[in-house]
Amino acid sequence: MSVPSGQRSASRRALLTAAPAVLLVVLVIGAALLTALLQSLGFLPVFGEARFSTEAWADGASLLESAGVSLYLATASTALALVVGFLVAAYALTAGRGGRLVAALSAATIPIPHLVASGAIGLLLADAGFLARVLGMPEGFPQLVGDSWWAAVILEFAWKESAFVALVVLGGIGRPVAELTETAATLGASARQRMLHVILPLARVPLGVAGLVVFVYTLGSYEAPWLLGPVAPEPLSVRAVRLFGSVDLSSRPEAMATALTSVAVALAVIGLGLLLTRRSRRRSRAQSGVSS
Amino acid sequence: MSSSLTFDAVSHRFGAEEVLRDITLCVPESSCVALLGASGSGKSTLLRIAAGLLPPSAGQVRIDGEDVTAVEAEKRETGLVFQRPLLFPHLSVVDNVAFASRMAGGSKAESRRQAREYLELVQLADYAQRMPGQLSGGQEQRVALARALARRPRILLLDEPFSSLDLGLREDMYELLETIREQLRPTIVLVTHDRREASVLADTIAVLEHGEILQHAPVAQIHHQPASPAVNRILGGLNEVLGVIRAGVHHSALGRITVAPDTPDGPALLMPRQESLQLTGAGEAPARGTVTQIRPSGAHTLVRVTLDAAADQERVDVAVEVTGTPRLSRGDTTGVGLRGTAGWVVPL
Repeated sequence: MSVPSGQRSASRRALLTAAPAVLLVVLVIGAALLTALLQSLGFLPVFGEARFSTEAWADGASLLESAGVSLYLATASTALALVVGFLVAAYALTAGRGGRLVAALSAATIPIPHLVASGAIGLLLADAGFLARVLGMPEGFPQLVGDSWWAAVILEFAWKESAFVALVVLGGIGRPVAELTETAATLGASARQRMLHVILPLARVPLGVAGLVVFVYTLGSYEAPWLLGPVAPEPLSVRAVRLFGSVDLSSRPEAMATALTSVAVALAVIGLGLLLTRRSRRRSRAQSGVSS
Repeated sequence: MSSSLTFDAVSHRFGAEEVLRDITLCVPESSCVALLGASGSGKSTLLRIAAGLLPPSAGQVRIDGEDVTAVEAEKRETGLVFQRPLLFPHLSVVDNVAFASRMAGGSKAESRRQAREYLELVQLADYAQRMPGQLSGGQEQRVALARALARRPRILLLDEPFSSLDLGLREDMYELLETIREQLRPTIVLVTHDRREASVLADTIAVLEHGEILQHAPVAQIHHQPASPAVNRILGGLNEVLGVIRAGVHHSALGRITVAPDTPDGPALLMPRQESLQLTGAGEAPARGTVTQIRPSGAHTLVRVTLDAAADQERVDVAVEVTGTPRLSRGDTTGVGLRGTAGWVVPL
């Protein structure tokens, strides 16, 4: 079946409108990725002669270990942020004035930089931190900062990113959900049932999109793991920054290899996420009878 | 399934604004009461209080005499149909109707079987597998009604459920509601600003204005014996004839009209509905006047007449609704008389 000419010219116009932005992004990211790839393969050295080498990629076990830590951190943080963010959004949508207050407080955390938030979490959760002193248990307080489970890092990411998730869900499903939950209440649904059977199914797509963004962000973010995590093993982001800033300039190729591994993992997750989100959107459209 | 509903001195405030004031109203079992009023009169707030979606600032709500004021919406056993259908967009038609049963712990198969019975009642059994977005507005509202009924509520609350439908669909819904009343005999509270809808569907009408019930009475009575000029106007009455009562007779430019014998002497407003007046020959009527306006409205015509008044009487304009098109023009002289013998007055 041929595409109508009106539709074809509309999509051509849309492409032309987006072209400057797309071109700029492709140029900047493309140039950065190409430079990183060339540097990781021994070309573009800081000093000395350029020669092809896979030495930077040789320490595969270390790279894999870092990738594993990064995936663990991103997965745990995203899951916790999605749960907390969804609960905040659900409360904000159904609890009237109190809900709006919670939504406002939650949104207020978004502009705080991760570096500041990490410092605050460190001061709060360290074994000689504020919480340990307030509870009067400096000895018995569990080790949350620098522990092998990366608890403080995950909590920092979850706290900051849950506000983002709540904002996306609130924007994605909006006020009609409040009316639908009221309807569900008059049909005998308890608060828990309203959340599981009305709000959650409708928030599926916004949650998927927000989850994808949070996952990729936490995968690449280094401030919180650098400040609050153990020294070893390192996640990809911390490893890349450490090697890049090292006084030993010969570790630059290794830094680039680490950064490219992080990009590869992120791209794989984005691809998978987009596939699932698109499928979910298509299902939602089919359900509501909207033709695309 | 059917129960009585009582509002006992219910008041409600939104901040400093009092939106309901000391509402006392009884809705008998299996009856249909219409709450009629303009936007902002407090009728929807009263319905939300009945459904348990809003706690009243004062007073009690009783179902079969039992105080349910503190009972949450999900445990109150009321069904509510809103102005918009508000079908769950992620569920099919049959699953929307089966929702209440599923939430009560019913199996999917049994809930769907029951849902199909209610879909048959609203004549949408063939649409069970469709999604809400694939239905027309009227069909969606039918599904919403079936969904509320499938909850098997003790009280069915309808918040202007037909106001967004066009006239033809509205007539269909009226018929459907009549069928439902015959088959299930539910107790219904209907909120509407449409006096015709209230008159067609309800047994009694409670007129609300500024958060107060001005009058609650059977449909015919409230039309012909309004408790105040405000009720008369809300129910579409166009005539208020000022006169004086002397020995059970109202004297005004409309002539001498017999009223209830226990009406005290003194000034009083006679409120004959436009349908209760008739145009007659100028010579044979007790009151005469000049036609000032002729406004056709389909099969009927509204004729406005300025009555001739004696020196000691107020000038009076009356509206008369006649069938068809009268052979009159502006400026013509006509007689005006009351159909029947007795009039309804409100002493001033």
